[in-house]
Amino acid sequence: MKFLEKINTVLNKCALAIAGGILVFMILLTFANIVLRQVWVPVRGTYEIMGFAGAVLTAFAMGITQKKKEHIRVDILFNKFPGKIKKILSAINAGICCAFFFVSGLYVAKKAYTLYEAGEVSETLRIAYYPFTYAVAAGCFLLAAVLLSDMLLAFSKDVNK
Amino acid sequence: KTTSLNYANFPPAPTFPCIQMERWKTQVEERTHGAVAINTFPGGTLLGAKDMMDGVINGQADIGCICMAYQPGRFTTTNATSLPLGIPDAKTGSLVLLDLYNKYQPRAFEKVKVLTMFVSAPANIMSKYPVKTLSDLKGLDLRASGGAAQILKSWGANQIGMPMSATPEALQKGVVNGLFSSLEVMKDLKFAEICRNVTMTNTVIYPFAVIMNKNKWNALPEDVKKIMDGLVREQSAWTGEYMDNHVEESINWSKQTYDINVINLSDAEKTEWDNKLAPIIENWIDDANKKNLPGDQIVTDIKNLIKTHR
Amino acid sequence: MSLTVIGITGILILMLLLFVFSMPVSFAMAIVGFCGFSYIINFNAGVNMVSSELWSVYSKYGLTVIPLFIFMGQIAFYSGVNEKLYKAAYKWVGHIRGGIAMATVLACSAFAAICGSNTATAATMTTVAFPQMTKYSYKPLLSTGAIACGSTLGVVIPPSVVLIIIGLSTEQSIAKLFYGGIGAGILLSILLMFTVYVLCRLNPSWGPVGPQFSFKEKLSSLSGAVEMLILFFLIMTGLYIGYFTPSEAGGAGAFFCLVISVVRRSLSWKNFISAVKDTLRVSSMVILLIAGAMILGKFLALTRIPFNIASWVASLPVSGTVVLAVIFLIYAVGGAIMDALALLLITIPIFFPVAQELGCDPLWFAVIITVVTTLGAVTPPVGATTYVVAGMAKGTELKEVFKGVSFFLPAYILCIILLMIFPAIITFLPTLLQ
Ligand code: NA
Ligand code: NA
Repeated sequence: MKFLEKINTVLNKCALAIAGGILVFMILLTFANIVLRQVWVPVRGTYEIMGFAGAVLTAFAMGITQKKKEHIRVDILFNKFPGKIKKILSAINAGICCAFFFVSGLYVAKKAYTLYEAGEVSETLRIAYYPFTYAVAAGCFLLAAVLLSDMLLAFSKDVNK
Repeated sequence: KTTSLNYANFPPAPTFPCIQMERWKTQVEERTHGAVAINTFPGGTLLGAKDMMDGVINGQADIGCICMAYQPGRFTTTNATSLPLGIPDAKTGSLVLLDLYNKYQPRAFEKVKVLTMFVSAPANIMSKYPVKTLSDLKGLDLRASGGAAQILKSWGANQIGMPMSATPEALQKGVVNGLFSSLEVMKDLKFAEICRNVTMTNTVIYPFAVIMNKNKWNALPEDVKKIMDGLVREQSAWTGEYMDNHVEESINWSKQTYDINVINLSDAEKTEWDNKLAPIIENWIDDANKKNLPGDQIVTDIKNLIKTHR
Repeated sequence: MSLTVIGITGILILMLLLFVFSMPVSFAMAIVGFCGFSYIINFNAGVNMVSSELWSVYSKYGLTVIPLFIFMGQIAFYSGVNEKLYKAAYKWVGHIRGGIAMATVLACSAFAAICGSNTATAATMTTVAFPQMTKYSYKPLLSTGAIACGSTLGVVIPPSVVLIIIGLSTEQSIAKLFYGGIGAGILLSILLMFTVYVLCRLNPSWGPVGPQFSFKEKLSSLSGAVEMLILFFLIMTGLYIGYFTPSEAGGAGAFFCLVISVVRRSLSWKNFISAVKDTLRVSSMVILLIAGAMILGKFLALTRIPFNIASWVASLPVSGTVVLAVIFLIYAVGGAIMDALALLLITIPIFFPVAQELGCDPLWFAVIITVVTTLGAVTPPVGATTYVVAGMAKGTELKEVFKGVSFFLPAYILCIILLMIFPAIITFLPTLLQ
């Protein structure tokens, strides 16, 4: 349990650092493209790169967002339940979501493999882009791991705290 | 009892891939006397452009319409029709594509049943400024999908890849100065408002295929299969013809409404433009050979098929 | 089970997950969409639909404006620019009832003129405006409602994703649609500001009146707002001259904002890192909401409920005005249960010919439909804009935000009625253009 928490924390921190780097990169790339277009030629494939970078950014930040409970929820009714029922509901909730994102992650990875196998490349730069798809799968697994520890936590601690 | 099939398409309802979808639906429903009902899903409501192929293989939709140019690298053989080999119009191109597919039966389609194939009308340059020579084109920022990137680069223009939906804005703001695509958009998307010049290059076409999930196909009654198979070639020619008429209508409308300037290249100029494109064909042949495909033979076949069908 | 029953069951299960299990909204939409899709076809189709939607939504170029604009807002927040801006606003309009909230609606319109997306506007404006309004003792009910509704202007005032989609699927000039959106957008922002005024008249504690400041004090407060004005000026000029597209404005804005903060030495390294972290979390929350709505939309499309309702309305044997009213009602209700864009894509091909047959001006119809669907962006349960505001306004409950939003609904209805009586509000600018 503690171990899972620790791994989660470390992995999510790394993912967040990478996503942060990507954010800064996206800003610089957009600006560079604007300037270079005026003085010389546009950066080829900017649209593509931005899309791929955005995908990794979003995916890598999903886990930490769940960790901080920032995925918006409706708790009008939920808050009226007694503590014990809340605990059970939270555990089921986290369990369903964990399973969902684990399976989604598997199939996003499968999609990445299909792209690799079919030899598909991006439209403008003609680069193989399946690694970015794998990164999105990794983001799903991170989120699933956070949800797993949420589920276990629901049993070990009082959700009211 | 009625078999109902879901047919997914990615562009908005009034575009030609969706028009041909509705035509096919009507024909199939009529000819099978209602034994088959087709539910159409235009505008990417069921599957988006890039998800279409795998979506049909996985059964998200029973039938789907793919634009092969959106997935470079995947449909090498059939994508050869989008090389600058001089396909003059959509009808010729559609039949060339279908014959090419039938001859080579590419592996990319082994997991699906092909219901028809067709191509867009050839791409031409629409721009704010007249383009008469290669030097007019030098450094001009043109919106084009990835498939045309190499061609524009060879001519010295800057290809800018952006979704069609972002293009009107980019044109207005001057982020791009024109676009390289088939001419029906002059009327359909009102590009004639901004782009008052058209340079006829008739270079590249985009190949499309309508594909069906294999299991669903196998489960169809024999008489229905026969009817659909009978429609393959007819639908291909119908779509090509529709497209060609539609482009003509679009040009006439643009001439009347916005008095656009249609530029035809002089023979000398045309030769110079074509010479710039020769390496693209050679590169494709090399690439095809690396994938163990008979590159030379495919190109020769396409050239011959163009002569047969034009 | 018929497809319609499956669709309705799906919506009921969604409610159950949302309210009883308190499942995050984006997850719940995705899970219901996945289960419904799998139930109708099979597991393999469902799970592949989810994975391809996740990938295509996440990697969509158009959505990259979201992190970039949010980052711009975060930098403005952490470097204290927005605090100074609101101090200036307080000195100028604080003495008017609800003045700060009205100024916020106005700021939302200005931001909407740069940004094409509702959710990006909502996220940025909540970061910039909400803490400041709280500081000047505005009730969250009023401030979040004003921000959420003000943000819907993002799709009415051009550039607008919704107008582009309608333009493409009805083959209209997008430029003309954009000009049409300006009139409707201005009318809606005036009505929203008027609502703020009326609400504060009725409940003076919601937006307390501040002291009157001397003209000299007002002038000197402007020096604090100068950064934001420079930023706004740079972005608007860049857009106007054509140095960048609206989609690039997010990146340009974030870059300028960073440069200004560095030059003014108003942003520490620590605050920079916090701004990055907050941006990442908020962006991922917002984009996952969009992905969830798309996945749910695929399921609802498969049930063909939207198609069936649309063809049913098209065949109604009643007068034109009634048909129009029913169409508007469907967009308002439909916007409440599914993503506005997905709904438009499905129904426009069916409703548009109907409207044309009724003799409606296509441009007028497109713009008024945009106003109606934008309503859907704030109504529960699928109201992405409201969720974003609630998620970012610290210490505010979702129900409070929805309640706040509900006070603004009459403004939308009044706006639609006015647009029906005076179509020229929409059509005047585009005809001028010809
Ligand atoms: Na806007
Ligand atoms: Na809604």
